[in-house]
Amino acid sequence: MTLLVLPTAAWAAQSSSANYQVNEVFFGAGGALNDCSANYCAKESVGETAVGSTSSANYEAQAGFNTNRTPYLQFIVNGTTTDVGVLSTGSTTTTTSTFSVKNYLSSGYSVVTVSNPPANNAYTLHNLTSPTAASAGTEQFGINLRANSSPTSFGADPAQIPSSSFSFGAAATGYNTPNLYKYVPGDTIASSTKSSGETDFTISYIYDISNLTAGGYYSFNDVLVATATF
Amino acid sequence: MSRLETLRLSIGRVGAILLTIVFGLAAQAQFLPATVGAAGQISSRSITLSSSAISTATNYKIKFTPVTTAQELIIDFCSNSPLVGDSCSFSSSTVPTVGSLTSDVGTPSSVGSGSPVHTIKVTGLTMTGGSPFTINISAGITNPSTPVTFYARILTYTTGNAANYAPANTTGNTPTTGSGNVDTGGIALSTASNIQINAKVFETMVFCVFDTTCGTAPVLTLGDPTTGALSSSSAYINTTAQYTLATNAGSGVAVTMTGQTLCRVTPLNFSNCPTGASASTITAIGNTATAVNGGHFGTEQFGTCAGINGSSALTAVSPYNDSGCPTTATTNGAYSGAVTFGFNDSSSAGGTNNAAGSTILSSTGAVPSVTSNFAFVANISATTEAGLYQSNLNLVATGTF
Repeated sequence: MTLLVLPTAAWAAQSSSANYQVNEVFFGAGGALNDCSANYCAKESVGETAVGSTSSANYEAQAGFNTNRTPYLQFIVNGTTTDVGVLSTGSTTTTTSTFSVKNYLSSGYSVVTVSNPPANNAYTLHNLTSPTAASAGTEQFGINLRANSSPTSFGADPAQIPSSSFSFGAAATGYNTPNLYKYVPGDTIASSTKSSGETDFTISYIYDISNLTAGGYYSFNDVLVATATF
Repeated sequence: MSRLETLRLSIGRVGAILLTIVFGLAAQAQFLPATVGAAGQISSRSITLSSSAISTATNYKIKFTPVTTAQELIIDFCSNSPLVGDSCSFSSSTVPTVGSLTSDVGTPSSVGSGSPVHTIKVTGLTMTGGSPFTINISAGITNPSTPVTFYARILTYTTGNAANYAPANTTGNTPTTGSGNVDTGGIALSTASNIQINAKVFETMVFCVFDTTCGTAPVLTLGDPTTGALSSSSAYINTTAQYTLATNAGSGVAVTMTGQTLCRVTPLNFSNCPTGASASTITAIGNTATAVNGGHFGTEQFGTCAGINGSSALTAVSPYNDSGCPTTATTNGAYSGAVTFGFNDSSSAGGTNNAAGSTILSSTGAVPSVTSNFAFVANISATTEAGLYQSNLNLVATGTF
């Protein structure tokens, strides 16, 4: 039996030069792009010898019959409201939050923190502008994205899901040293230089106050922005 | 071979040849040069949001490198696909809402009549092929109302042709690109939840007036160390009254003093010690800082000054603010120094006999812990009535938080 597949002339190219473009070319033992029952659909292929992402300094490719042509960015911030209670000059207050990023068909992504440091009306908690250790009694606010042992054991290193073979997100410089904290609005705190599977990040926050830190309620609304370049 | 078999074979050969030709033509079509007018793909494309917060008016900074020079731009937000030519789904929860736009280059406007309007047109641009292009849309875009991944479709056009783009006015419809399209590209974006962290810092005020340690009430004696009596030929000082002040009051603190000048009554009754000179008092120096040495011997004077021990946050207030005011609790006896003192015992505002008191220390902000001294001095005249004189002063620190 001869199976004839007529290539379609899709005008929206996935790969193109000034003169040529290629759309969904498949040379393989078999498969189906849209194999559906009443409730489920599957995309199938047979005979692949290598799949996944491969890259050089300047190029990256997604190998496999079932690669998707749609660029993708998934950015999930586990938005919670945390009350860390009453701050003290005698000890550092810590807390954590998490977010995850994955993207596809991109040149990577960056996650920027855009919020101002915690503020109590017009009074803003002093933010650490360079990586600094926590110091009880000294007013400071900072974060990092690592597992820490000081001032206490808290936080976590970036977790690559399912593994570091597929996911490549990393904490950014300034935020990638355990036990050192920094916070500068507008800084990139996490990034990947290529398409990446899911990376789960944990932000570790430290709060320290001095005797001069103004009394009142301090609110920090941490807004993170993920930007992917395609 | 029979004629029939020959005919069958011929038909089979013809069929195979026809299939080969059709397949060859189809494959050739797949690898033919892109047709004239097909769009190139813009590269290095990204959209940076000023905030990923949902339902927030947000700046959208769009960067990309076009393949070919163009003058007009379409940015179409869809929730289902970044690919030009696909259908476009949208709702206010899944794509940005486009309103009255402002951009740093070109002339932006919204396009279409969908709910919400989700398409932007910008004319009057210079997008040079091969060169990075950036446009910042600083107003007129509100993020989707849910944390969601969504897409932007970027299309460039030659002058006058962006108007040919017809966005989907109903979700699920397919936009029409129209003529004059030059380049295209898709971008994925995402809104996200915020992380809210609340913390409390208690207001603090530490103010202690003491003799040796906080809790020991200062009871001072002014006079000769041996006899305990004042003299018209010498001034006497006592600096053993100390204080410690610390507060995180962001708008500052004021320490006020209420009470009378040295008062002679047996039994003591301050109501019998009016302000100013009287037979029952040693006259207070007043609101003008004055020395007590030299020519002031033989003149009734009662005054005080406040040390601040070098604090940059705390200020002694006139007339109690001589910078030479002793800052260590060591002096108790005759005094011939040039430091000036004051004691405003007026009942008017600013005086110690006024309910609000006389301000002796103040700050404009928080004060790190300061420990210093109050120095009290007294002179008497030759006619000062004999007796036991006493002043009972009350100091109050009030912070403004």
